[in-house]
Amino acid sequence: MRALILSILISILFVLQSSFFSHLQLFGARPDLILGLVVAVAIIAGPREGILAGLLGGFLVDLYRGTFIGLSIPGKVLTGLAVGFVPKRVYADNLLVPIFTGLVAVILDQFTFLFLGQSFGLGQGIWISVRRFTFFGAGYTALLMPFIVKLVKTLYHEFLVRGWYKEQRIS
Amino acid sequence: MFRSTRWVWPVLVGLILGLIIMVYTTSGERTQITVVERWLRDAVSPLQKGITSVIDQVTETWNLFVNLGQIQRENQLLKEKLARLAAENALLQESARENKRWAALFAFQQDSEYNLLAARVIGRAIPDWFNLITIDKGELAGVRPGLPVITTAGVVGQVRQVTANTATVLLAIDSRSAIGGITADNRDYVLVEGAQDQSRLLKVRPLADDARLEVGGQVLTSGLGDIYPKGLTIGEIVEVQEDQYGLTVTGLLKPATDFARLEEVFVILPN
Repeated sequence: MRALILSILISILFVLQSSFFSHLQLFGARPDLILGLVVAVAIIAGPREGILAGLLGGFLVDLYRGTFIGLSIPGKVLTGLAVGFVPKRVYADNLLVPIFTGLVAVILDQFTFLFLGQSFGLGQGIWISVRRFTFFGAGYTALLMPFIVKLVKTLYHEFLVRGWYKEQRIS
Repeated sequence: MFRSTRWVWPVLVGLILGLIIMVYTTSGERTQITVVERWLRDAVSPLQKGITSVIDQVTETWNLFVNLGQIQRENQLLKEKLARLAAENALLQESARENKRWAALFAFQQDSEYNLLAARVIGRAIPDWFNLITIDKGELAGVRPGLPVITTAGVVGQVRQVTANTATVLLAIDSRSAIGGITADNRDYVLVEGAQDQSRLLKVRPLADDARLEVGGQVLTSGLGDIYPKGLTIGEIVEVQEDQYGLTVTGLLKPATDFARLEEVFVILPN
């Protein structure tokens, strides 16, 4: 069930990121909605959910790209893990926390991707576009974080809070 | 979080190794993709297409809305430009037509045995039935009262008054006009008088009782009246009428000159 809901969410955000936000770029950059989702899920449901979201999201992104399949997974999985381990009380209902977390997460994810990518022969030229994307993309993602958190929270409550998942850390 | 750690590490190492192999094997140029990738792209593309199409429509509508004012201004400017260009085009076409007419007049002037002075019609008397025109040549150009005025088609009329730079011409169709003529075929002398009505047809009155007038016959100037030189075309007889006793005939003549469209004329100056 968790995987199904996550898959649906990831698919929706993936389609939005690859089509809708291609038209809604900020200084040439798109938000990383998948990573935003990983962060949101980790905030709401903890590290295990965060890891699962990072795994599925990273795999989907890579599969669609068709090259270096699996390279996005470590960054996203580590993000899910790290954010999920932060005590829940830190987040509370403060909007600035997911925004800041999203900002840092995108930057870390991008650098993890590049760091690992270079080990597999990813070209140096990609740094130029990545720098630009990282800067504006991180800001863009951070701005959307409150909406993504709200979306995930609503869906999790709707589908899981009354079921077997009740004991999990859902706000 | 993880209750037992015995199985975690082997799984984790296996996953990492699997991941490394997957990234490595897909890092090069791939001409073939897996069924899963194909399925994913085929599944996603209709959604992407739909969203992109909606976004395009919304963007187009939004741009249209945002740019409406600018479009209206541009439209207004283009309309003004179009009107200006249309006016310029009309002027250019008119110039081209005028050039053509002047070229024909110039050729006529060169070939003519007379001393012709080209002039432009610059005015007409109001109302039209006065049958007077004003030309842009006057005393300074050698124009004098009584001089004949013609076009390439035929007789126009006679100069009545002159100023330094203009002259008034009484048209041959005016009722006060009378020109000595001769029928081209039968060589009968006739008097061609101006129209008595608005028909713009001249009246042909033979001078001899046995003169024969024929419909379609040309009438030329006779040269006997001291005004028009001999041989200029006046017009063509379109109707012949006999009096009630059959003793005299008169005719109606359609002038060779189109008086309604006079623009350039020649004044025949004395040699």
